[in-house]
Amino acid sequence: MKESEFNIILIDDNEIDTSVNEKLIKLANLTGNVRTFNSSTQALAFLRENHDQLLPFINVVLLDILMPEMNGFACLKKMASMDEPLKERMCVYMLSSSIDRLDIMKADAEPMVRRVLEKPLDVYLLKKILVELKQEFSQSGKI
Amino acid sequence: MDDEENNLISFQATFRRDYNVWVTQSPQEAAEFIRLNDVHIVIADQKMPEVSGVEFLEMIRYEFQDPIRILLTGYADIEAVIDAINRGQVFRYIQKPWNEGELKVLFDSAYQLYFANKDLRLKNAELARAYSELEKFVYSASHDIKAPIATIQGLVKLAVQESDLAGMRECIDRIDISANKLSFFTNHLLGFYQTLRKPLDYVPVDFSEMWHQTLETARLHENFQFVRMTKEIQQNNTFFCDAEHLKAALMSLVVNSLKYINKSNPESYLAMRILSNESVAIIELEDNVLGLGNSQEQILEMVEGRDWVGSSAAIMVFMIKKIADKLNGQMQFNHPTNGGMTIKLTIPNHK
Repeated sequence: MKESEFNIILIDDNEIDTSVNEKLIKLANLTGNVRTFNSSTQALAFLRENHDQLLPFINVVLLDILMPEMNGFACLKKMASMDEPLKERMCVYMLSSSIDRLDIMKADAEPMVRRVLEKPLDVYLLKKILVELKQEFSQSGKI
Repeated sequence: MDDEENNLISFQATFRRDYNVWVTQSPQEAAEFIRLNDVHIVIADQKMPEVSGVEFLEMIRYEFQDPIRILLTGYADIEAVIDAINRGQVFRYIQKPWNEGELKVLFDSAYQLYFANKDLRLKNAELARAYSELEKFVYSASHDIKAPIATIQGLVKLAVQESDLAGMRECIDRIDISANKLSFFTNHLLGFYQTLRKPLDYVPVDFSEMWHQTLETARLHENFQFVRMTKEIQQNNTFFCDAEHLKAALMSLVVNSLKYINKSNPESYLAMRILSNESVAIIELEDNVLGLGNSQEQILEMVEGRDWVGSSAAIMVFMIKKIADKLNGQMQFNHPTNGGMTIKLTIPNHK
């Protein structure tokens, strides 16, 4: 897999979780572009400021649900106001340490969310997801 | 209720010394009376022109569950009576001509049944509420337990792949932090529930001493080092309260703030103010924590149990409210979306 096709953006208020996931992703040789943020606000600012740089990539966002200040669902609401071309290239996976029925229902209602993943992050599952995304995007001619 | 006035008059004359008897010939009037008064027993004559006794008792049954329904019949209409009893529309039937002594026995047992039923219904409602509360509590507590476990699981995955000793050591240190966090939380949770089950025992409380003890425990919290604690305690009188419940309330207040403290803000503070007088103690904790990720309204909805989405933020507030309720006190909660929180408890002096 070419490194340049994916950005993996981790958003989680728990610093240990983001750094562990970053290391696990790198150890599994998934991609070179991992960005971590410990708050929704930081992540949204990054997305705003780097719109043009992000646009050619498939942007996989791993978004924690329970966070102070702005929780995962509130963060999604802000992300919904991004422009369409970038939104089409944003694939959001919500992270939760306990898979809750209500969270899944709420996540299903969000067009940008692909799936809810249980913590700790399973990098082999992520690897599989990336392969499928790559297929999907190349079939539709987006990469 | 009977359409024959003479029957009503003789019935009332016989029983008015022992019971409050109210009579009517009209089903509408009867229903209206039951609606407005605390009626224990309803007796209806089977043979009436507008509706039969069974029909009337069946009608009122849907609106008023509590009164015990008795059918009065002189009619050889035994089929209808049996049917009514079997379908649960009627508790008993009285055959005319009635016997005063038998009826008194019957009324006494109906009266007892009335209170037993009512008590059971109240207990059931209480139980249902307690059960749904517990369900929500378990759900949100298990999330707070699961989060550090997931972190530990991630760290273990990383540790087994780590080739150098320093990297592995770092993983183990972080496992230690997460395990301590989990241990602190479960201890707090367990202590809280054990306290809440205990009966209240009012003793004189020394707030300065209690605050000192609270801080001793809070020191073990991972975020304690990031915050400046201040206290202002004014107590010029003897304050009586259950010490364990009060301590659990103080602890929950502090833990709630510590959970959301902004570690990167060097100005993070927790300010405890306790003002105790003859009638009440006002315990107020103010802080400048991050927003909880849910609005004040959402959190109060969760605390009241109407909505429990994104529950983790509400669990401590819920616990504090629970203790305040048990101590006959009140909780006021103020949390602007952009952060900072004030929780104020007003606890009566149980002298």
